[in-house]
Amino acid sequence: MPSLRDCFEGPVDPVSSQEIDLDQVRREIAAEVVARRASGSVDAIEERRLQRLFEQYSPHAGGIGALSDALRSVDATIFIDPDVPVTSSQLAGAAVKKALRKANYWYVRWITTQATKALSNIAGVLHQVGTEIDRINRRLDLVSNDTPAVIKVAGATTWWHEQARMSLGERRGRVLVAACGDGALVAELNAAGLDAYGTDPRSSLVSGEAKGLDLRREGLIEHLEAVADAMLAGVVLTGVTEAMLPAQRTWLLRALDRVLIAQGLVVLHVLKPESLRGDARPIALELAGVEPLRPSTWVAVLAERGLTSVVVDGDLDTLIIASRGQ
Amino acid sequence: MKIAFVTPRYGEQVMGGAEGAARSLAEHLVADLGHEVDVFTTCAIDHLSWADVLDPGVSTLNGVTVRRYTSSAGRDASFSDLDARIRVAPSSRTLDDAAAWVRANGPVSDSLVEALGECDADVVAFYPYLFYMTVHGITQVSQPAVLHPAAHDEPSLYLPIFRRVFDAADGICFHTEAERALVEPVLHTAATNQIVLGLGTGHASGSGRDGAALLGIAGRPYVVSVGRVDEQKGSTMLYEYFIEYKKQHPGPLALAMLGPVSRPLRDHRDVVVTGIVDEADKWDIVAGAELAISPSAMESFSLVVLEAWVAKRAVMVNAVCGPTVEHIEASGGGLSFSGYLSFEVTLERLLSDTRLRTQMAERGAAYVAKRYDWPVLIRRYEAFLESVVAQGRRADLRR
Repeated sequence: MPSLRDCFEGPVDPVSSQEIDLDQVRREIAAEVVARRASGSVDAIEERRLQRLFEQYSPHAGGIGALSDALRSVDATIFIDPDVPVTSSQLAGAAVKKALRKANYWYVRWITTQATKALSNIAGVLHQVGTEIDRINRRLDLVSNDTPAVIKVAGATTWWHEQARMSLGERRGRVLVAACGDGALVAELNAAGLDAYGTDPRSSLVSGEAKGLDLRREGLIEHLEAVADAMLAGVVLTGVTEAMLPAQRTWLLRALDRVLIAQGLVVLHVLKPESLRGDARPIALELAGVEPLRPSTWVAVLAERGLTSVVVDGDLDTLIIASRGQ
Repeated sequence: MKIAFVTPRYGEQVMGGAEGAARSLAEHLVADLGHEVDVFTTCAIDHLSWADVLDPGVSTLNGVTVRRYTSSAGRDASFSDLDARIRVAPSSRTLDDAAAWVRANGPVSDSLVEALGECDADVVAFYPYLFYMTVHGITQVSQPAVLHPAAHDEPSLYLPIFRRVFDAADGICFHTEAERALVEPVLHTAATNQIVLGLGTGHASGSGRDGAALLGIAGRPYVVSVGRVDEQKGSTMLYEYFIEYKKQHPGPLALAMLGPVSRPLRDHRDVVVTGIVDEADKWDIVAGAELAISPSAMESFSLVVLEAWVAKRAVMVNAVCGPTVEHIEASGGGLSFSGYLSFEVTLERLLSDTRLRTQMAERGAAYVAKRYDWPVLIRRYEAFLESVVAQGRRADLRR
């Protein structure tokens, strides 16, 4: 194994068919950067100047997140206006001030530009801190990771697809199928004239696109966070609620209120708790440490939010079709 | 299918960027798939002034019908100050502030926007999101509208006016996953029909000439950077970094910078700034380079990185540029730098390791062939447009 110094200064290797480990190369480069910085190979002041060049046009978050509202008041005071007011109560005072402003404008503008740039950078960092805190808050709120495991059990069939399709009828607008897998239900709904798309943290985008389907590799919570209000005509949830923590479930119900149009439909396919017991209990569910809700509990929870449910029972699973005003 | 593109400038004089991408898609839709394409654009070429320099009216370019309209205003003198103000807190600006920024950014062509009302295309594609004709046109067309944002993490993305623009799109076509991940949480576009498409690359069209000789530095090794020479594109940083590198590593190595010059650089014996070169020269110069460097942090796709791989060159990219980092991570075709020292060490490592460079170039070339070869890409785009047309104009449903 050649030393790092050999890698950088040694003879050029002949081209070889042996695959190079890029992660190893990156680690070596990172270690060499640390070593050179420690050795002072580049003057520290010069390195800072060069680093500023790098950062000058580097993007940073533009202010999303819970703290962004509070930061707006900070933002609003950052810009230092070089146009000094010239109004005056004195005769000819305004003209004198205006002349002085004009004479000194180049200097004042230079100073204010530097100050604004510096303050903008500080504000940018504050926004980044705010975004990070927001993320941490969200994690604390949900206690666990953002993507509950998708739960499936052996022996479950797709008997409920037809029911789901019929309940959605000829709704206009997009229909989300969460945990869509290979997109079979999305394809069925599209074939029936609906505009369906799917998300699944496990699915392959490429296979979906090859079938002409709009499938995304995303978890349900992550996805719904980025859906605008009243965008969806229907949401089909299958296998995504069983491993949800209580806080995640509450979040989901609020999100459904927000993203569905007034006539929107929730199609909730849940596994019966009794089909998830003993050896049939999926490992992911056991690891999540939660107990899935019974279908009747779901109906009650949905009713609390003004949704009326129709329940269709299967052997292992239940379909709950919920809408407003039925 | 008849497709209309709406873009602020269009033509052979426009190199790269979103508008160049629009032209590539338009011409391939015509040439490869036989679709009919109209382009609605202005008479401008220069993206700083947006001055009308071409004649208004209808012309044909490579099978594409180009409809040019004059602008009532280009880049306004107030733009610089306005831009500085919105940079500070873009998401808290009022709609009026944002509208004023869009107008000052230019070009303002109400005749173009009006003409869209009579457009007879099956689908209208707006490219990119930032400009007046997109902001005002996308809410007015009666046909399904596809938005190609070409977005970077820039302050303007957070202006409230763009929520309406993205909301009015029936389909969104992203360049990269990084662009999609950037846009979705800001503009809440997750439920909109969308595709991560990217751009197609051509085949290397050089003629095997010595790149160093073309640059006037025959016999010297060189690294190359292709793209607009502009402070915001990282060109000044690359120039300064390279000069510092040469202080630390004296020798014959040179830097070639190819592309239109927005920000002139001081003359230096180790740096060659060519300005715009023709395609054949570009490919020969890139093919003759030791490697290619993309210093920009603000790319929405970076065709030049892909073209370097087509020319079998490894690349170095800016570590905070999501799309170019996505390319190198997905392909294994390059390395990134995050400051001067990592630039120095990475460049040194790549220059001293031919095997590493060769493998990276091969991986990059395979990545391009798999994802961005035109025949594959244009069919994916066609299928996406067809799906948007099939669903019709849905934007009004949520108002």
